[in-house]
Parts: sequence; structure tokens; C-alpha cells
Amino acid sequence: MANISGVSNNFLDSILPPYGNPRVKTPIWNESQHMFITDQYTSAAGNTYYLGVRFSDRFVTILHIGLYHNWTYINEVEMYAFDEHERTLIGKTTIDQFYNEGVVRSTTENLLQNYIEGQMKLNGSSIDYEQLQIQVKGLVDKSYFSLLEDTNTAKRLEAVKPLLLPNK
Amino acid sequence: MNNSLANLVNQTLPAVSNSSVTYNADRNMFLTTGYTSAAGNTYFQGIHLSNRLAIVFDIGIGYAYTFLNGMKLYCFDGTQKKLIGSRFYSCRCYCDSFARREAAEILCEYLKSQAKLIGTIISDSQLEEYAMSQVLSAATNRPRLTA
Repeated sequence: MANISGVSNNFLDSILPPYGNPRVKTPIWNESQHMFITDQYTSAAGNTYYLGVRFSDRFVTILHIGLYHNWTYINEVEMYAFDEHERTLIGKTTIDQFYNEGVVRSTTENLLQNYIEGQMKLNGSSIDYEQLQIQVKGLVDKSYFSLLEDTNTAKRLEAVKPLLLPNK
Repeated sequence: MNNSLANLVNQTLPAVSNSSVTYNADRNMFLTTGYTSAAGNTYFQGIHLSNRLAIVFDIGIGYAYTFLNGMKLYCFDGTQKKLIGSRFYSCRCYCDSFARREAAEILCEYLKSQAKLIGTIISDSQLEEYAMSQVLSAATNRPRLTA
């Protein structure tokens, strides 16, 4: 097999093992989509389901994604805020349509805006909707970071490690 | 197909695709059963396979063009497939060289992120070279399948 000079074959065999050998239990990062891939499962019908996990230091977005034949579907979007080291569900919606990053991003923004708006109303605060929208977009943008370029990722990873359990 | 290749395909393709497949020798690609829409467009998946990697192309044939709609890369974990990366395309005509370059980029991103998560330092150029060699092995180098 091809190898890399100076790099142990054990490393390559652990992350890209030959068929039949186990893969190392590190989380899988999809740089193209800026999210972790976890909880992969293939049904008896051959459809594959997995969770896409994005996060920032303020919230976690979990995408329920399904692969059917040629098509990728986004089934649900969930959002969690942090409560110390635990996560708390702050919004959830069912989409069930072809995967479209624009739709996912706007759904995430809507969920976050609804949560913040609700909290402000409960607190009796006045709401500047224009300002709120700008802030929400900024917050969601931060969850689309690059693991390969962001040196602070390792610190953030600690907060979501339970979501990316080694056996997933 | 020789016996070794046939054995590998029999072992791995059920892990990659639940559809019945045919083998296109010209492109060294396995093709899933197609689906033709009411509009007359045909959709199917093309699969390049090695003993370490499955590259799955989502292909559509509409009018006079063959389109690459998406791409998924899988590694193996025991006998199960594991999605390690994907990309989507819009109005992108299928081209072998583009498809291989994209597959190598996706694989390289996976390798870089794994190295970072595990804490191993490897130069980008080494990983890029390795990724391309693995993609070419799946796409063209049939003897590697028997190794």
C-alpha cells in the first residue's frame, strides 16, 4: 500500500483501515460542511442516517440527515444551548426535504431567533428586531468554522465531546 | 474481473450500496440501478472501490449531459461503511479529472482533521500526495484491489 515517509503505518491503518479492520474511534469531521458526522446507521432498506453536529461556544446545532439512493435529505434540525457543561434543547423543527445548506442555515437562524425573542419577552425586554437579526446571523456564522484553520477548536471540542462519543 | 477482485467486491459492495450493481470496465466503476424521473432524467450512483475506500458519485443524465450532483467518500470500520466526507454540486458536468481531484480533496481534509484530532503532525503536502494516491488506486489501479 502507499504510505507516507516518516509516518507510522499504524496511524494510516487506524484512520483508513483495510476492509474488515476496525477504524480508530475518533470523531469524523466533514470540512466541506463544517460539521462533525456522528451516529451513522444504515437501515435494512439500505438508507443511511447520520447526525451532523455544528457548534460554537454558545450553542450546538444537530442536523438529522438521511441518504436515500442518490438523494440527501435534511429531516430535522435541533438546537441546544449550554447550561454549564450540559446542553439544553432550545428549539427543534422538522424539515424533510432535499438537503440545502441555505435552508439549513436559515432554519438555524430562525430557531435561535425564536429562542432569544421568547426569552426577551419572558424577561419583559423590548426587542429591536433588526438588531436581533444581525446578532443571530453573527452567532450562527460562528458555528461554521473550519476545524483545519481554527486553532481554538480543541478547546471548544471539550464541550461537545459527549455528543461525539467514541463508539458513534 | 479476477477472483480476488470479485471477492473484494462481493465483500464490500453490500457495505456501500444496497442496490444491485453492474461493473463498467471502461471506467473501472460500479453502477447502481438507475432511476428515471417523470421528466426523463436518469439518476444513478457510480462507485470506485479499493480495499480502504469507497468513492460514491451521485450522477444524473439529463438531455445531452451527464451531471455530477454530489460525491460521498466512505472508509471502512470492520465490515461497515463510514461516511468521511461529502460535497454537493449544482449544474456540474461529470468529468473524471474533476471528480478525482474533488475526491482527493475530501480525503485529504479527512486525513488532516484526523491528524489534528489525534495530535499527529504530518505535512499538508504528504497528506495531499497520499490522498491522491488512494483515490487513484480506487479509480484506476485495479491490481491494488488484489493486494
